[in-house]
Formats: sequence, C-alpha cells, structure tokens
Amino acid sequence: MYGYDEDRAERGKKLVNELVILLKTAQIHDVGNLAFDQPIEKFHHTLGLLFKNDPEVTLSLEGDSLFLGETKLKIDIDGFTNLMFIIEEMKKREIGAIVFLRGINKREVITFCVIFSKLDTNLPDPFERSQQKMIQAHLSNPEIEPYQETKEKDSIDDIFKDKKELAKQTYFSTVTAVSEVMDSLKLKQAVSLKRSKRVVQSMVDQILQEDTTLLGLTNLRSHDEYTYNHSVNVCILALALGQRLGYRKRSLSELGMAALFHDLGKYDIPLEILNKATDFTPDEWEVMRGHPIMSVKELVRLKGIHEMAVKVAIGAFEHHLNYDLSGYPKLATKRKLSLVGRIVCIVDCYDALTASRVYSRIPFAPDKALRFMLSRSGKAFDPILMKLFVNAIGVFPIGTLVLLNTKEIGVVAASNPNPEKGDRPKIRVILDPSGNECDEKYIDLSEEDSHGGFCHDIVNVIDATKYKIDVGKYFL
Amino acid sequence: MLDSGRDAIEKEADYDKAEVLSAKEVVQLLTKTAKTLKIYLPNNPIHQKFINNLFEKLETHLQDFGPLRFRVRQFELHCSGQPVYENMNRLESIAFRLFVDGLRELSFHPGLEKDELITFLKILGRESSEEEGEEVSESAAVDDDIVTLLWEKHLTHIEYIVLDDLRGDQDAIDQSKEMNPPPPKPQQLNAVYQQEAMSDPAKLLKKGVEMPSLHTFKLTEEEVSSIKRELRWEEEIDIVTELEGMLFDILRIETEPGRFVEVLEIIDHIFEELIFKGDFVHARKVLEFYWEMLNPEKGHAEDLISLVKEELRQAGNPKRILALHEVLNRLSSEQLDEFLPFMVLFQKEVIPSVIELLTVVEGMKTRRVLCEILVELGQMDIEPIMSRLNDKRWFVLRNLIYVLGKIGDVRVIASLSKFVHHEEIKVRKEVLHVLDTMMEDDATEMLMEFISDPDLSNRVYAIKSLVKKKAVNGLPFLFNLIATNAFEEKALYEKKEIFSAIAKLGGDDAIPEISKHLEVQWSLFKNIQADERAICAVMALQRIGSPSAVDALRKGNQSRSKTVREACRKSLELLGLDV
Repeated sequence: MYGYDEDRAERGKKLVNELVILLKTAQIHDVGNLAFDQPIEKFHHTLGLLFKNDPEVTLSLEGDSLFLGETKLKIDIDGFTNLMFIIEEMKKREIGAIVFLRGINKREVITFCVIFSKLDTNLPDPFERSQQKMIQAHLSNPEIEPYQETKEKDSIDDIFKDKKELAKQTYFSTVTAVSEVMDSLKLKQAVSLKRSKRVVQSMVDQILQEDTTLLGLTNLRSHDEYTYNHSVNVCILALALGQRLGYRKRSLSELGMAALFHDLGKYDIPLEILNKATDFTPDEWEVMRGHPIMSVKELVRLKGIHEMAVKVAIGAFEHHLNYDLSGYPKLATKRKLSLVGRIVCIVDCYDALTASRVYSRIPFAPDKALRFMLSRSGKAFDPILMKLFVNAIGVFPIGTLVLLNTKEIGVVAASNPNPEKGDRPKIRVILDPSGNECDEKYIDLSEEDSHGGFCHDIVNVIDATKYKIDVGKYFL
Repeated sequence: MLDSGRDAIEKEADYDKAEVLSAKEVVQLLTKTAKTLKIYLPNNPIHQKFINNLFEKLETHLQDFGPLRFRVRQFELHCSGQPVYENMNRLESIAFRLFVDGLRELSFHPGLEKDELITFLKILGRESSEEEGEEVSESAAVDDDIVTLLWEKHLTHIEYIVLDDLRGDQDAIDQSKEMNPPPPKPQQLNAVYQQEAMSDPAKLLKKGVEMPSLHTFKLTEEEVSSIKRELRWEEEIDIVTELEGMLFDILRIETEPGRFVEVLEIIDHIFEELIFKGDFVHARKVLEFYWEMLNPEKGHAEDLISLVKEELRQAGNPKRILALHEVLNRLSSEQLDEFLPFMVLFQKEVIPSVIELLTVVEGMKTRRVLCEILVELGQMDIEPIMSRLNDKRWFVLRNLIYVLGKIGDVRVIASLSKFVHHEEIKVRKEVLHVLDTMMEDDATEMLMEFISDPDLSNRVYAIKSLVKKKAVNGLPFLFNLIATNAFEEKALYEKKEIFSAIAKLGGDDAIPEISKHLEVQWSLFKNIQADERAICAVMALQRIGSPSAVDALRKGNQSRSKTVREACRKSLELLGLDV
C-alpha cells in the first residue's frame, strides 16, 4: 500500500534516540555496567514493539537518509541531532545497515553498542574490523551490512526516474483541483474541497518519503495567474517546511490545504489586474490587498465552522500580515500569528520572488531570493521558520543554476538532507567542462576525494533568467 | 489510489462459493460489531465478545482464502464478483458510507491485528455517529472522512482503493502540456558557458560563493524549545475562537458600510450555528464583540454603529430565541450554566422572548436558568415581566412570580394581590414566598390573607413569615382568629403555631389575651377543644417566659381543670421554677 507509515516512523525515531543513548553510554562504559540498565530496557522494549510485525528490524543508510525498513525517518527539529549522529557514525564505520533479528537479547545489543562505539574509525577498513570484532565476541545478532556508495547513486536515479511520474501526476492534478475550486467560486457553484484534500494527502505521503522530486517541480513557472501553479508550489514548499518542523500527517495535510488555497480570495480579481505586466495603480493595489479578507469571507460563507476551512482561512488571512504585522490587512489590534500563517508567508514570498509575479516583475534567482528574504528575517518573516526554510530547501535551493569549479554548469537537483551540509546539494550537470550539453549526469557536492576534500565546489550562481533559461525543464 | 472503477460480475464457475459465503459471514459480523460500538462502551464484555468473534472469523477467512477484498458499490459490497452485503438505507448502509467517500475497494490482509481491526471499526463508527439523522454532506464529512482517517492511521493490513482522481485527468494532462517549458536552445547554453565559465578564469579558483555561514541556519536549543511550544499550542487551538478572532479583526478595520454588513452577516451565520449547537461560550464572544464595537471610545463611524446595533437586535430576535428551546432541552447542566452570561448580553429587549421560552422548555434546571436570566434582565426593566402576569398557565405565573420576587421591586406587590386566591396552590405558594421577602406594609397585609389559605402549609408559612417580619400589626388579626369557632377546626400543630406567633409578636402585651384561654369551664365530660386551646396558651406563655407570663402560669396551676394545671406545672418546671 502506498503511503507514509507515520506511527512506524515515530517508533523508528524513538529507536534511534534510544540507540544513540546506548552508543554514547558505550563510549565510556563496558558491557555489564549498570549505566546500561535503563537505556537498554527502553531500547529493547521499542525493538519488541517493532518485532510484532516484522521478524527483523533494519536501520539502513541510503545516501544521507536513514530508513527503518522501507520507512524513511524524518529529519525534523526533534530528532535531527540523533539522526545525524547515527548517520555519521554509520558512515564512519562504512556500515550501510544494522539488522536486529527477532530474539535478540539485551546483552547482545549492549555488546554490539560497545563494539560499535569503541571502534577506531581512523584506521582503515572499519566495516571489516567491526565484523571481526563481532565474530570474536560470538555476536551474530544484530547483523551489519556494508555501506554501498552505489546505493546512493541509485537513489538519485530513483528520485529522478521512478518517482517523477507520480510527482508530476500529483502536481498537475493539484493544479486542476485548485482550478476547479476557483472556477466554482467564480461561477458561484457549490465548492468541494474533497478532491484537493486527496491530492494534498498524496503530496504529504510523497514529501515524507522523499521531498526532492516535488520540490523540483516548484521550478515550474507560469506567468499566467490563472494556472494556479503558484498555489501548488506554495503548497509543496509549505509541506517541505512543515515536515522539518515535525508536523504529523494530519497537520501537514491541513498546512498543505492552507498553502494551496492561500490566494483563494483572488478568485474575484479580474485577470487583467492579476496578470498586469506593469505596476499596479493605487486602486488596483487596494483590490489586490483585499484578497486575504476575501479568502476568509468566502471560506466561512461556504463552510461555516469547519475545522479545515478555518485553518485554510487563517493561512489565507495571515500570509501577507508579516511577522511584525507590518503587512496587510492593517489590523486595529495585535494578533498572534499562527504557525501556518507564518509558514505560508515565507513560502509564498519565496515562490513569488522566484517567479515573475507581483513582488517583482523580474524574477530573482533562488539564492538571491533567499538572501533578500534573510535580510528581512525577524521583520517580515519569522526568524526561526526562516532558518528551517533554508534547511529545507538548502542554501542553494533546487533549481539554482550554478557554475562548478570544474567549469561544469548545472542545476541544483536535490538539497542535502543534512542541514549541516546545506551548501553541498546534488547537481544535475547540463554543460560539461567543455561546454557540451550533458544528459542525466548528477554530481553530489558532498562527495569527498581521497584527501578528505570535496571533489566539487560551487563557484558561482548563475541568473538563469539573464539567459532566458527555464530550469523547470530539468524537473519534468 | 487507483481503481478500475467497475468490475464485471463473475460467472458462477469463476468464484469459490465457500469464500463468498465466508465473506458474507464476515460482513454480517462486521455490521453487527459496528452497531455494538454505538451501544456499548469499549470495555463492555458484549462489545468485546463481538470484536473477538469478528477477529476470529476474519483470521480464519484470511487463513483459508487469503486476502479478503470487497468491491464497494453504492449500496452493496461484492466479494469475488458476488454481492455479500446489501443495504439501501443511506443512514445505515456501510457500503454507502464507504461509497460516498470515494472508496471503491476495501481489503483485509493476512497478519491483520486486532488493534487494527478496532481502529477500523472506530473509524467506521465515528463517521456514522457524526452523520446520525442526516445525509452525508461534504461540509460535515470532509474533515474526518473515512479516507482521511484511514490515511492518517495507515493500517498496514487493511488497504483501500479510492476513486481515481489522478488517472485519466484530462485537465491535468492539458495543464502539464501548457506548462511544459521549452528546452534551452544550444545558443542559450553556449552563451551561459561563454559568459559564466570562460569569462573569468580567476573566479574558478575562488571556492564558494557569498552566502551566510551554515551555522547561521542552525537552530539553537532555545529556538527548538520555542518552536515546540508553538507546535503544542497550535495543536490545542480553539478553532471557533480563531475564526471569531479573524472575523472580528476584519470588522474592526472595515469602514465601507457594504462590506461591513457583509462581514456582519457572516458573523451572524456563525453566531446562529453556534447557538443552535448550544455553544453559548463562543456565541457570547460575538455579543461581547458587538458591545465592544458600540463603545464610543472605539471611534467607529455612526452609520457602522447603527449597523451593529441592528445586528445585535437581530442576533436576539424572538423567532431565533424561541427556536432555542430544543437546544436547551438537550443541554447538559454545565452547558446550561453558560446560557445565563450569554443571554444577559442581549439586555432587556429579549425579556419577552425569554418568557416565551420559559413556557416551552422542559426540565427544572432549564427553567431555573431562564428564571435567573429574567431576574438579571428584569433589574433593567420589570414591566415586560409584570405585563405577562395575565398568563393563564399556572406554571408560567409561578415562574414569573418567582422572578419578580427575586427582583424584589416594590411595584410587584400590587400586582400580586390577584393571585392570593389563585386556584393553583403552587402559584399562591410562590406569592407567599415573594411576600415573605418584602418588608412593606402592604406585603404584610397581603400575607395575613394567607392565614386563611385553604392549604395548611401556606397558612403556617404565612404565620411564620409574620413573626419573621415582626409584624405586630398582625396581632389583632391573630387574636380574632383564635377567638373564632373556625379555630377549633384547626389541627393542633396549626393552633400551636398561631399561639406561638402571638407570643413572639405580642410578648407581655399578649398575656391577657392568651391567659383568657386558660380559663376552661369545668365539665363532666372532657372538652378536647378547650383543652387544646389551653395547652397552646400555656405553651405561648412559657415561650414569653417573662415574670408576667410566669404569674399567669402560676395562676393556671391553680385551675380547676386538671389539663391546665398539669400543663402549667410542666411549663414552670421547664422554666426552672418552683411550682
């Protein structure tokens, strides 16, 4: 069955947190020490719950992501540190997977943790030495598997091939779902949000498993407001940020809906204003600035007291208010802005800046848009959410055209899931060092050479619009 | 989420009869178990038994036949192309419930756990209870529809297929074509290469580009805690308060009357929805907001203020208030407590409607709350309540009299006179209670009329009330009363109360009048009436207990009547005096 198993992911996060405590305990204590008593009890209990459904529990590394079986463990504010610790430590030991088999006892877990923790990772062949030490300790459970570099490469290919179709289908179905709602509003017909809700749920599942593909599609730009792809982009970006926050599926779905319909109140604005190529007149600005209130009115009129509609209305009402309430509508009293409103405010602005829309008729390059937004962090934007947003989309957001030190030119294809390596995304090379067009070649900027240095660096960010290149092409 | 949409009924030869029969039994048990969810608490043994039976049946089926798949039709469930369930009742049909939500296939898989089954039943049950009595409307079901709940729970061994929204979406295909950006032309790429990669070789040596350090984007522990607090806060937000807050924010800044009215109308709809849900806490906030808008210090334009006034009037229109009776009849005691602070915000204009409401509600607590509301509102204007004292229904009168008594306005007294002889004892009793609280002379006079009330308890209450009020002007009336033949007919208890009242009100001044009753004529035959009167008199003297009263008792101790003598002796003893 397709879908993200949230409870399993939560359990996985718990298992990782408990394993980290055990590993850290093992750094200073030997097997048999009382210090293990409490953490092993917890870890063993969590493991037991996971064994209920599966005879083996596998923590495996794929690229920079940790999986529990088939379920990717989310990097959110809650589990980030421990997740990164395990990923880094596994990589140092060249371990690709730790497989706990049903029946494992507490002593075996502790023995493994001690071997794992006390291994000198500066010496060569850490995986083989780990295996040897486990054999010496007669430890057959858990099992370990070697880390495969190729697996990471495979996963990049997977991202850009296997999941692309589903993501594209979802993306365009969402565009259609928004269009339907907006058209119904224009025609004063009954409005159903059910279909939108389903596509957002599908997006949530995809984002939780792997956010790169959908994020890539946010590079699709339409200069026509009528196509609503901005709404879909805002939805995807909001989900990516919400995921970092640790939102659960239900909250993500609500956030996604709020983001998708943040501009619902624009349904009544004439297209000639929406698509106006020149600056707005004061009257036109007034019409434009009325859309957050219009959204609230319409949603409440349509749905009354309806939980999801109210949440959507909150997002729509607040998304232009700004963090310091300096935006619009100008309120008479102070208001505590919701997280949803602050998230939509950030992602809406980002997508608007990077497209040729109302904020700027000339689109910003993604990195410039980020820089501009960072300069307004704490004023227009919530500073904490702004940080998380950068963590979610990377310092060089997906779609950024870059020049590498190797003279290769490429488009950022996937951000690095590890925020500490946020400046080392994955690049789809479009021109080789000689200027020849490349087909489906990817470079991971976090890849290191034999001296521990990075193989590639970004030396410049290129403004794609200057050359009239639409990077969206590389994500379809 | 894929769906073939429709399935052809398989030929008889193509399906396993035993499997279909087993599937039928599973569905039967499933529907029964889902029903028990509505009747019994989760820990109820009967409910547990149903779940266990269903789980066992499902396990056996999965073991014998593998995954159990149901195709969902509008009113039917099919297994292997054969109907295994049919129910045309939209409110009861499980198939319909699944169908309207877009579910087209539901399947149970080996490995199914009891917890998963219970969760599934809860989802099924929750949905049905929400729809009770009405057809599924999108607005009611879209938040927690079955698909959403199944999606959230992600039950590993219960799968579903939803009506395909993704496949064959021509609009989406058109959109994708429309938005398909053109590939960059070779000359464009060449220009990029020439200008960016070839123009400045020194740039290639410079590592990295100008960006803030990654450290800048790392969240501090304080920031993580702060955001976690916000997440928790957001989980607990009250959706109605948020909605109201937004609408109030909008109205506060709206200056154009047309748009102002538009928002007022929206608020009014919300208000109506709230009151008919019995949510008076949130409804009260609307009224409080209207009062805030009416505050001259807020500086709203006169025309807008008039609109708010009109809206406030509309919010409490008689039809709407009267329609609340059904809501009030089903509210809990706690919810009813919220009705008073809500209603008083309407002020006196709603008094007639509340009185009307009082005539139709059931339940003592509800009536009491309405009376309390009238008491509060009546402080502002008593006339609308007094004007309803012509109601023919005794229970209405009784409640109105109670309210008027609580208000305590002296104007009430005159209007009560017509009820002193009302045929309904409860009405008279209520009047009596009101008079009891009034210290005015005319209240006391009216009170004395109750001493002749047909009801003993009313009479005694009136007597006690006179004493409580120290109404000495009632003494002549009481003296006359004990002198009448009618007094003889009264029960000893009442006689005692009357003498006791005389003693308390009159004190020494009443002794001569009381003492008269110690003079019992000797008779060959026992005169019970005379004896009772004498005993009551002795008791009254004992209560006065003054030297004069003692003298009277000593005198009585010399009486030729044995009854009087003994009563007096006993009283003197009780007063601690030598006989």
